[in-house]
Amino acid sequence: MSGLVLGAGAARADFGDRTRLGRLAVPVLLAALLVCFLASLMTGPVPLSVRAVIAGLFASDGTASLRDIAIVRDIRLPRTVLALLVGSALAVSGAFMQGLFRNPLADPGLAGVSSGASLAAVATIVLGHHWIGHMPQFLQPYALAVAAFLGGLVSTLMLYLIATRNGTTSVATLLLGGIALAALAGAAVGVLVFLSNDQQLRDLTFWSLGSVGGADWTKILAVGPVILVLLALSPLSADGLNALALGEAEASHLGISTQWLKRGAILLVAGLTGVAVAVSGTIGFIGIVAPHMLRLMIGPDHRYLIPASACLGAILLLLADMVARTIVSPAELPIGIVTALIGAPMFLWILLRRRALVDL
Amino acid sequence: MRITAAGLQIVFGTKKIIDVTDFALSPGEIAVIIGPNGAGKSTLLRALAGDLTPWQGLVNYGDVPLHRLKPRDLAARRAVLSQSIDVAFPFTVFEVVRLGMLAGTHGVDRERARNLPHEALVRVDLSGFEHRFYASLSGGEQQRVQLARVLCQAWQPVLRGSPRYLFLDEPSASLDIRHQLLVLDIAAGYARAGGGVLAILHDLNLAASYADRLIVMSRGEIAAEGRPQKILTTELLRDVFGLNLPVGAAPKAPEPFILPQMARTTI
Repeated sequence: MSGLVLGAGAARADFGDRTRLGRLAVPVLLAALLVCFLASLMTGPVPLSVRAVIAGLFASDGTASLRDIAIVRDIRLPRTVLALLVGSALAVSGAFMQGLFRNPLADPGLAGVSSGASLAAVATIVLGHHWIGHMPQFLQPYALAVAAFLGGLVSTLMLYLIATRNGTTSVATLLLGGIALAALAGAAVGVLVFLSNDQQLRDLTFWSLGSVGGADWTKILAVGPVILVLLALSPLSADGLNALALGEAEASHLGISTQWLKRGAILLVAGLTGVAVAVSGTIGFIGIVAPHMLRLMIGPDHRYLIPASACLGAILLLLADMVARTIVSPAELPIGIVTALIGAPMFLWILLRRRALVDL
Repeated sequence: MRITAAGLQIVFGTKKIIDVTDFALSPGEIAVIIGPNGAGKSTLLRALAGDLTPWQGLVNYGDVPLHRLKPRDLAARRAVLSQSIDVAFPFTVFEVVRLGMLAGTHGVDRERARNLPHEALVRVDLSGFEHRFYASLSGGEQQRVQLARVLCQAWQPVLRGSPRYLFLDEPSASLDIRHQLLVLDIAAGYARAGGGVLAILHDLNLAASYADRLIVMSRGEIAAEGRPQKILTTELLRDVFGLNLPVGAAPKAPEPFILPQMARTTI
């Protein structure tokens, strides 16, 4: 396996060093992302050519038809940009949680972080009219995103406290604790659904399976900067997460301030997951699938895994969204169904391969 | 720069794990801690390395109290080899060893630094293992990979005139006889070059032949301390291990020598 990964032609001094592979991954994935981005703009009930898409994006002098401009700029572009942002946010949160918990099965969706964020978002939809009026004016449009972030933060912290004892995190406790948190959040959501009116109910169903269908520029401007800032900060933790693979004590022996690393990682996961949930509901498995595929391809070095995960997460969610909105066209499949159909078998596969190693 | 500790007490819950009134580790020496299981050997080592906050007492690195040192500065002064370490995620041996350089490549030039993991692997007799996955190695091989990582962290025993220290918790535990000697030879070389080494060993003969100073721990306290020839006696072994072990002399060597076959448990 290592021979396949490293290539037979590697110079002697590079044996076991996958740095070059890692450095190559990001530009290659960026190129693939560009292709998917264009493909996403071309795909839909009205298929468009590359030329039509480019004309729709950039033309200002009437060379493109108004219909194409409307389809590209008003319908498909916001949706595509949102899928891109959400996909990268979910994949990077996944990579961070896995690094933090030292386990490839940790995922914001499975571990209850999304559930917590989702509960907070649902509570805001149903009960928010009681408190949103009291918030500062400029914050009101972001109430949903802020609530989802806080929900994600609280559930991440709870999960960490539940699963970690004496600096070691138990996988079994992590997954079971995640199930318990998700069930608790689910019950609370159930109560809120019971209390909600028809309009709110329609808003709520959206959260359970996830969708990037409701994309518009207001949403993108609300969450885009948050996601981009957090993604830009994420590589700062790469060395720390690499050291953490040796264990918490070893990481601190290597000069890593593990307390700050853990706090930063928890905030980052809560932030990325929270805002992703706020605009797209709970979309599962991207956070597991993207980092896992990359570890098989370029290795687990977080210096490359994190940026590559951002790219691959965006690619995967763009592809999933293309499937979701074409397979039963003109109707739409919730995107969460598509990611679960791909992600759940992958999760099982990782689990079975690791069964001998993990005490579950 | 010496590492010193005074009035050091570590308490877990209500149980006092160690109570060490006075301790010092000097550059140029190998100090070896021996003692029965649960005597507080690892706890003392971890307290000196900065893993544990003492209940009472101070650890000083030179003039600086340990808790004043930032993690990075501490990592530049000492490296720690713990007992068996499992690595999350499929890192290669090379990548694990390179993690040692996260603490910085102090005093090693760029060109050399790139090659340092290989040099360290050659030192621990694992040349050619670079591309193997860490998880696929045997326990003893993994132990040597970790030693290579530790060496990468503190490659030069003296950094800008200041000695560096290796803390080794049972470095020879899972190794075959050849590699036990190799690892202790590395530690001896490190001390000869001006660094300091504190190691925990269970093999009394290895301890006797490599230690400049033996630290015998029993029930959280230092029961005896000094040159092996001086302190390793039948009486001490009876007090500490509860065994009747005649102590002889190693053939053609000044060190004390113990044959476990001669043991009779004292009741």
